[in-house]
Amino acid sequence: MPSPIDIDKIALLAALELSAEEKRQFAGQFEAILAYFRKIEEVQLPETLRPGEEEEGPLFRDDVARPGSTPPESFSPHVEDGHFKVPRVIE
Amino acid sequence: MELCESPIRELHRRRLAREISTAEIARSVLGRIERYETRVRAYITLTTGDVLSGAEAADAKLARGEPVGPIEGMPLALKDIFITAGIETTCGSRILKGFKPPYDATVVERLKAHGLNLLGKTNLDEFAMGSSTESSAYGPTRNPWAFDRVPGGSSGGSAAAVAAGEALAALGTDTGGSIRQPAAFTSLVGLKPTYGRVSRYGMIAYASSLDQGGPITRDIGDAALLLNVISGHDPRDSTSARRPVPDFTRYLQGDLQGVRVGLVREIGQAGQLDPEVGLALQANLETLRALGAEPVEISMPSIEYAVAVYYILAPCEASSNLGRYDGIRLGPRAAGASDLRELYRKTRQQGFGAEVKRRIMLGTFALSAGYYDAYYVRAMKIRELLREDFRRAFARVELIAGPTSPIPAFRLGEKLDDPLQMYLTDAYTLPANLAGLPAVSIPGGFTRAGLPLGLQLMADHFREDRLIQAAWAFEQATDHHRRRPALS
Repeated sequence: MPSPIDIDKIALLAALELSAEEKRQFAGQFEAILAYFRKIEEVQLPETLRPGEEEEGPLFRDDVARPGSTPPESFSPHVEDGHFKVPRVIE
Repeated sequence: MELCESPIRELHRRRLAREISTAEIARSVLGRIERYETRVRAYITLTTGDVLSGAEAADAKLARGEPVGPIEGMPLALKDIFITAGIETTCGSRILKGFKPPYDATVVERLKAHGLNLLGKTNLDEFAMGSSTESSAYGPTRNPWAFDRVPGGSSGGSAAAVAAGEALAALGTDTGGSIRQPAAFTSLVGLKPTYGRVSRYGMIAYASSLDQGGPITRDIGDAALLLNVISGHDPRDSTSARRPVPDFTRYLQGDLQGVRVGLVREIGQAGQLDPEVGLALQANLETLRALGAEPVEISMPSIEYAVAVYYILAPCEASSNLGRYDGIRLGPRAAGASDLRELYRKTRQQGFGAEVKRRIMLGTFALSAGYYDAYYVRAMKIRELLREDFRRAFARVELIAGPTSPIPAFRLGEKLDDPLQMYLTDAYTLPANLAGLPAVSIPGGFTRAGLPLGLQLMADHFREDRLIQAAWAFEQATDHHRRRPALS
């Protein structure tokens, strides 16, 4: 099983900025955790797996519009004129 | 025993008989909070200002001869993962500090319809990721049975509040044991319903295929009472089951004559069992046998992989669910970011604690190109094997019994630097989540040093009735659930 984790690459994918100390700490911990995860390689998987029985009936409600939108001002401090304010996106 | 230490059903009987008032109950609970909360630190947010008037309103209805339900006016607590309209909901994280949701979670709506008298929002591991409540951004909660020990997690604030008499009961959530393990560490009943039994709408998501809300109470009667209120189909949660909800209090009777109770042969491989936990388990199995149960050894070969499977899948789901916390819509925003991506990264760096970052990293890794099949897909397949193990087991037995946790409550800080050791303490609880099964932890004795231990019972999907009936019978034969911590 491939490892260990390329911490900088994964942090970038996860939109996380990690301190040098966090990177150092995580590197050691991930090594132990991934070594433990390797247990799953031992399992003999059958050729086909019977999926679990699904719940009865349709899971989704009818596709009918309902009032439901929550005005952003009611939960966010970052709103101006009914829109979320963000830093400049276009150079 | 003080009023704040009594089960809700008993208090309700007594107020209907006019022996006590709801206001007296509320004063008893508020007195406990005033006296002990600075040491226990069970709550993130207290909303106690209206609790006495809420209790008096129930008394006024009683005085007018109007019907009053069993939880009406009774002071209860909610884990700070259930969103509450107008009341700050942090999920134990800095990233949601100041967030006041515009609406209530479905379970909160349902409790309100039954007269919820809310004491406050209880502490938890950040985003429910943890087994000790130490990863909360608002500081750790302490175990009322031993203040130098953790109350378990992630619903540790809910458990500590009830154990200390700072609430009559509380709701928690359970993704890998977060209701049951804190209940075991504090000698309470913690019931995780079947996946789909209780709506997840408005319950902040950690791992959506595993999360489930449920009660933490003093005895199984109160758990049945609260389960009646919070269960049932919710069109706003597409994973909510369209199943009729029985009156769970009907199962508070009977014995265990002829009930087959499975004991998992591979349990020793799944976690390092503390010898005192093993001794308590033997004694509890004797009690079950004396009540008429027939122990049956069962084999569940996949159970020893449950910890690895869970700690791959739950972080994968978390890494996706927590993508929404980026400083754009909710909570505080990092200052000084020059572009959007930097804003995301800085907000998440400042807003998330170490355990949340660890799980987001692990999940992002396991889902990333080149690793997805080896980790996520393989873990999902083994999850299916585990479900198959349970299907076979429940064709032979009605219940599966075992310890809730391999160890009693550990010391604050003891496992903080070794996340893997912390993860391994969930070995006995997380199989029920992976299979979507209902499970309950009930008070199952104490160590020589006086630390509580839990007995876990699992049942087949939607068979909470069997858990309640067995727990009831067990409670009639034991007095563990009547002991209270000597707070001093």
